[in-house]
Amino acid sequence: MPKPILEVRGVTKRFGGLTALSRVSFNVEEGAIIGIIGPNGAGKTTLFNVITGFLKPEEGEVIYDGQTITGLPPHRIARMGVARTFQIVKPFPELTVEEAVRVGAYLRAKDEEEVNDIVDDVLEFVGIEELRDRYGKELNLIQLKLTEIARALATRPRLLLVDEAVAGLTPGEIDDIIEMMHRINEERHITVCLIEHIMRFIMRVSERIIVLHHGEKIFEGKPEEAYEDEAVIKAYLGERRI
Amino acid sequence: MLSPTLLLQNLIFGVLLGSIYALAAIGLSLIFGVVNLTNFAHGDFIMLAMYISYFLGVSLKLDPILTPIIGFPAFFLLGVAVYLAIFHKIIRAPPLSQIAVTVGLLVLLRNFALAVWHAEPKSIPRTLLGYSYRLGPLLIPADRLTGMLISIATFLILHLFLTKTKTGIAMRALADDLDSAALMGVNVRNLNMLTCALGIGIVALAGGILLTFQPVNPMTGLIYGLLTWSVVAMAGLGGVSGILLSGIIFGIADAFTAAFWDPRAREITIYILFILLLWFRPKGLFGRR
Amino acid sequence: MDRRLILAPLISLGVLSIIPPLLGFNNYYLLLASLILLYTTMVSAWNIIGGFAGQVDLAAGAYHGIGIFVTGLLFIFYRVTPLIGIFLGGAVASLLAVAIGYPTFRFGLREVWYALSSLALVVILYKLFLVWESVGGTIERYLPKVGFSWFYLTFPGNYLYYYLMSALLLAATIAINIRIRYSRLGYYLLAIRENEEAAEMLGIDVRRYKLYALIIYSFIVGLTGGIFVLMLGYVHPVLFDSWISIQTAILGIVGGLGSIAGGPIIAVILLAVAEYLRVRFGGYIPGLHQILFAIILMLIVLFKPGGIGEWLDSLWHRITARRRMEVA
Repeated sequence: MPKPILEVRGVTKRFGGLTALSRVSFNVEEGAIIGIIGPNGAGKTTLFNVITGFLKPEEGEVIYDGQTITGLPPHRIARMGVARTFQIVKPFPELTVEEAVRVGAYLRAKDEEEVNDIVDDVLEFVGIEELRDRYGKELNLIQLKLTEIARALATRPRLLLVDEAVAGLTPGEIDDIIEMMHRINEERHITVCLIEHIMRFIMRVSERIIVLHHGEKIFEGKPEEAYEDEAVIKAYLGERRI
Repeated sequence: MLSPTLLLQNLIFGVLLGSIYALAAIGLSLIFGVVNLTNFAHGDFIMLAMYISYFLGVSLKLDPILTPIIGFPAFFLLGVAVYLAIFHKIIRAPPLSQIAVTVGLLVLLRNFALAVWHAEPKSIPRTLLGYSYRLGPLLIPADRLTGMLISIATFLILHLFLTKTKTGIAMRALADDLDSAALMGVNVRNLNMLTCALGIGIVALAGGILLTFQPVNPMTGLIYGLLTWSVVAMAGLGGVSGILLSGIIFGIADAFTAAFWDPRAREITIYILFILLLWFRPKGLFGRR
Repeated sequence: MDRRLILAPLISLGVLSIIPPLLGFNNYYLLLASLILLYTTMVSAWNIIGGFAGQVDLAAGAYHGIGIFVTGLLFIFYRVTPLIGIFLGGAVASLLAVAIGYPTFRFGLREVWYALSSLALVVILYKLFLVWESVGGTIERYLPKVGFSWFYLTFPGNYLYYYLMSALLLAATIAINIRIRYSRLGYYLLAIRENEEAAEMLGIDVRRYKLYALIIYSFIVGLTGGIFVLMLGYVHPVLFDSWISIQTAILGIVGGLGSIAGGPIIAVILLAVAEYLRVRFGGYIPGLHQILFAIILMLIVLFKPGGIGEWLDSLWHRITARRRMEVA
């Protein structure tokens, strides 16, 4: 049994009186694509923030590649091979797409030539080569999201965390992202962990899904089984988007 | 040299002074917390208030303690005017822009004072409250005591306003979470304007009283700006009472420095306190939720 | 890009060296020009922390003053030659910079706290040296009179050499700007400016890189103080001046954050204008140039935040676009 690349053990996160995450535990095997879903406010982004070091949990641990990373600063975790995109895009408005991706590339590259190679490679892989010289502030939503993915890929991660990649996109654009997630996982051998609250997207992409509700894990298993699970159905009762 | 009487006397001076520092800082705390506006020119508004008190004192022979009667409404309106002319435009701007614009404002106010009142320090002869109470061997100047009472009264009124009135509660909601407050139907723009007007209006109260403590010159704005920001920094997210306590701590540090080290070194202690705070207790200074 | 690294400083040095003969080697103009060059150097150095890293720094007056005092006092009390003193001044400035930068560059700490402590530093130093009678106090302390000396870098009555030193420092600072801009450091600083959280997630230790920028910038500003004190001939606490901090930041912002040419160009123009205003109207309205700078700053930030750097960029694109079309 291959060692999991990510282990989340009993993570609890509180904000004053509010418990955002409650003893959440799961593993992610290397090479998998798993999805994390749940209604709004379920704690999904908080979970990512804890994993990537932006928040410290009150209880529990996060273990990446066998090493405890709980409490490490985000840049250390990124160096170890974890990359991430954000729920609300965080672009570099005054930099061109090429420059933005360059920033990511500098993490692993040993010299300028390698930086250039990584940039060219990633721009082509994500399919935004023609946006190279456009400034961040000129881009529309899908272009910004693609740039953010490219930027993250330039750091040559082993684990990619994607937070709501398709919010606000058209169905056609969503299909493109679905295809890209598969390519990232299969061609680049990157473990992918997706957060989404649009079921349609996540069911088509993930091999396994985890359902969060009010900060607790209420289901873990195959996407099809989630539809039958009682707890999941109850949690989404009232949500029209199934 | 370090008799208990001397220590106690300076402690009293410190508390009296500190309560005024708190009054000077509360407006800044409101504007920074509720409107989320970084105003680097706050100290120069205080300086302006001191000059206006001086002007009223000299031309109308008005006691500086009484100048707030004219000063508060005037500065309240000034707050509205500054909000509409400048603050309004930079509320959504990044911090660098806010700092840049308010630094520009600082320079304008400073040079305005220089042009009108010139560089020599200005002060008011002792007021009609020029006597002091005696508490055993200790002296409690009446004008400064009055100042502290005004300050505490203002804090009490403010506390009641923020906790018991709808508008006040809405202001606190704005300070906590802008988006939810807006969703609940709070008129953000009017609230921002009111906060700025209130914040600057209170400056007028502090300015008049401060003039009884120390003279004013065009560079005073910078000193009070840094002082009030330090008070806000130490108070952290502690709300109104935090400001009062923080102000008093700085007041005591100020008084002790003046008495036991060197009156000119007062600012040094204050800023060293501030820098130590940044080093060792920055809990209240992190990003907005 | 490597061409730019050599060309830009060489061109600026070339331009700058025609000025003295143009001014007829007049001492007053040489002094004025040297001052303008020193202040311009500060603006160019500020571009590293303010323009690239996006941090509002208001400590230029403090670092400049440190350079003045360290160089001056070492010379006065220990006859240390400014050849060493100037660089020690830069080093001490950097040390102080880290003292306020380290706690305030913590990830997540709001920008305003660094800006405030940087401004506070100027005031602290002013008051400190005022109170510290043995090395400061209220009277000017004059540098020793050693006559014309290369060893002590003193050239009494002749500002030509100081002009050359200032010009060299400016050229070097511009070269440093260029070198940083197209390196890992530069890209990391820009990323920090644009979005700190995204930068952290790309493996950038935000605090460490901000400190790198701060150290380079404060060192250079410290150097300007060292040269300045040689021209002035004395030290006095009032030289810790908050206006220098504010002026540097204003010129940096108006020049365009991150624009390597914008800052120096606007600095030279506005500083010359300021001098003119001071001479012409200083008697009536002593702070006229300050008022002008403040108004320009507010107008630029409110209406054209890119500063003149943005305008220079579009000019450059139009020129090169035309050339690209001709080639094609």
